[in-house]
Amino acid sequence: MGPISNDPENQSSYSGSFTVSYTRVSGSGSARADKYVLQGPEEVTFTASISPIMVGGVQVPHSIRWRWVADEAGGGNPAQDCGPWLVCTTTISVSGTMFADFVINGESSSVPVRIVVNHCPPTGDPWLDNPNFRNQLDADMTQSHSEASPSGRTEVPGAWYTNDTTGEPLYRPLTTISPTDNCQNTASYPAIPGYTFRRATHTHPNAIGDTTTPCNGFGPSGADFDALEQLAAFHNHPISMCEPHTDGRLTCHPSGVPVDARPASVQKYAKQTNGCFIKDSTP
Amino acid sequence: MTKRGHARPALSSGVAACIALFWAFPSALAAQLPACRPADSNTVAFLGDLTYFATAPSSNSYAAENRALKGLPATDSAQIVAVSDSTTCSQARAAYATVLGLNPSSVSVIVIRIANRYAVVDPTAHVGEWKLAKTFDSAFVKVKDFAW
Repeated sequence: MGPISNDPENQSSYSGSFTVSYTRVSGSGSARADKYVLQGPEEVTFTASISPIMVGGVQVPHSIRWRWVADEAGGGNPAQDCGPWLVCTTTISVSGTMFADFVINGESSSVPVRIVVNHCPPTGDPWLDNPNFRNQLDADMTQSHSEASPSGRTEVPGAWYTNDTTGEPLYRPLTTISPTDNCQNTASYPAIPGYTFRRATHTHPNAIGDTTTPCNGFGPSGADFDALEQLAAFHNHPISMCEPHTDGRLTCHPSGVPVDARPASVQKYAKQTNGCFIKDSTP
Repeated sequence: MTKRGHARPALSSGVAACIALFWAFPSALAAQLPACRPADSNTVAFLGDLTYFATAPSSNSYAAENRALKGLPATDSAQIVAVSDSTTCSQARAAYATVLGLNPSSVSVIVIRIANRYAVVDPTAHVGEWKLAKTFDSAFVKVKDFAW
């Protein structure tokens, strides 16, 4: 046996500590449908997605459950056709909301997907065949206070968009130029990132033939047509405009119509007592 | 229109001269306004609208109601023209300005003859988004006010 090593290393002791910190992976879920407005009982495919789905090459643990809440009784439970998978195809017959209930890495969340069913006869206008659009026209007209004296009435404007990814319609209320100007609506229709502006609306709250105000006739006004052309040019695609009137009639017109053909481009609709519109196809 | 009286403070002659010039200038401009405006896109649009409403069949309830609202006769397109002769333009402008309580020389109008009626509008006379138009008979008696 030789001499014991007297190297400095063999005469040292070591101590220390280390800290391990971790951040829990937080994921989020999203859900969409392949259609949002149905013209009667129709098959709808719901698709959910989770982000992130992988972290460091490991799948983020998750589960999903589909849950249906109907607006009204009937229609059964479409969610019972859906398994615990990211894609669900089922038949919807009444308006309601499909919820995608997620548990992602132990955290719960829920994403609603709103589906509406049109029970009115189709008009051929996809917006008018959307109950939400019709309901919003009613709400806007209520806000217009057409029952008030002219100084108490307001043209209430609004704007409809579609989501560029899902196609889901989106309504944005707009600000009137003057809350007491019953002959004028907004001058500003905002662009929304991720959405395409499709249709402008504004009420015409003056009764047709009401001689106490000059803007008492059928719309659209010349300025409505002009504004629509400017909007379409600004957004670089066709846009349409609709004006509900106090007597329930609705006028809609597209952009891109020559000035001398404007009135002929107006499509007229008459509101029925059940809230549905029918197209007035008289020449 | 009503005029409101204002107490006028003493002014230096220079300021008074400027104000006198300012007052005189709009009058000089107004005097140059033609009774009928040169044809433009407003003329085309107004003519197009009125032609549609006046020539549509009675089964077109939208057009029929607009005819009633605007005091327009039902007629054919050959009876509808944009007026440019100075006599008729002056008469139409005077009638339109009188109804609105304006000095005729301060307005310039578009005049469309529809059979025996005249539709007159100054496209710069707005109420909100609407333009103020009038329909007159052949004697330039007002038949209807309407917004366009």
